[in-house]
Amino acid sequence: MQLLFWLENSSLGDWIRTSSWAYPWVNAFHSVGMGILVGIVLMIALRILGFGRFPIAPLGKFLLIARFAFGLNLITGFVLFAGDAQHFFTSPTFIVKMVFVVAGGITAIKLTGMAFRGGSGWSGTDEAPQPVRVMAAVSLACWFTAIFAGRMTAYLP
Amino acid sequence: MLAWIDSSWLAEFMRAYQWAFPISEAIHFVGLVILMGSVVVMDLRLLGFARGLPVRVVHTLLPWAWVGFTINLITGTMFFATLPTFYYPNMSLRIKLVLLLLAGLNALWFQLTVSKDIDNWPDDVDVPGQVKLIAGTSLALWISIICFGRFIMYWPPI
Repeated sequence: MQLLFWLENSSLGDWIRTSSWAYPWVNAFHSVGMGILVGIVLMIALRILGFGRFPIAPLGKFLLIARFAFGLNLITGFVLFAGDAQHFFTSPTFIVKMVFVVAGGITAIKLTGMAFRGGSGWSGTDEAPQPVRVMAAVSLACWFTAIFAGRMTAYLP
Repeated sequence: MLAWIDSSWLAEFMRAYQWAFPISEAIHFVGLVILMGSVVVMDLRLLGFARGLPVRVVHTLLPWAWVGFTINLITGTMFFATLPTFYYPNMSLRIKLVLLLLAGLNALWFQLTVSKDIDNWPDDVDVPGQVKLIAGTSLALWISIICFGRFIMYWPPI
């Protein structure tokens, strides 16, 4: 808790709380990162779930962009957190969001192994086997839940 | 006009259910993700990223942009109906709407000049400069649209 208090009163915490443009801009970049990250996961998942029947391998290039967007949101998210650290740390809604971000990340990594690194024995050219489909659906559900919970942090304790 | 919107059934619905606004905001984000996913993949491919992905294949994912757009048109209208006197003069919303119009014209330009060629392009095509310009413009516009959407609540900056 002392650490959170320190973070909140650090120059970073002060900046995001008091600057008139810092919060809107950091918030905007957090939304852009969200759109890119989850958007790419969604496009990969749509292919796996059968919307489109093309070889999946070249889509793997976009994982790099997705990782970059995740990094952007880790940074922007931390800055937003710093502005109200003690509140966020104890907010059940925020904790739910964090749990689903972690779950989304883990399932996305598992999905990468299954769909792009041959982990499931799938060639990536025809219909995806059921375990790959399930992993894609679960990962997508985690990310959308994280987004939902994230928005609710503004309204729920 | 604003008074009419303010007294419409939609406005009354939004004000009667206090959770309608936050839930439509979350759905607006889902729409954003669907739209942005297909825009990012399409535009980056046209710009030369992931050349192994045939453009005609990515093109089949583009209808999802319409799904996202429709969701956000509906939820966006719901926001406006809730507080028309706040949204109407809001400069950030006005800029966002102009950018949306430009993104629409840009997409129309693509549709009219390029989309008929897509099926004839080789799989690993490096598209002409004009098409790259359209793709870069599209990406820049959509990112700006997200930003100005987020600025609505902070405009004028406090």
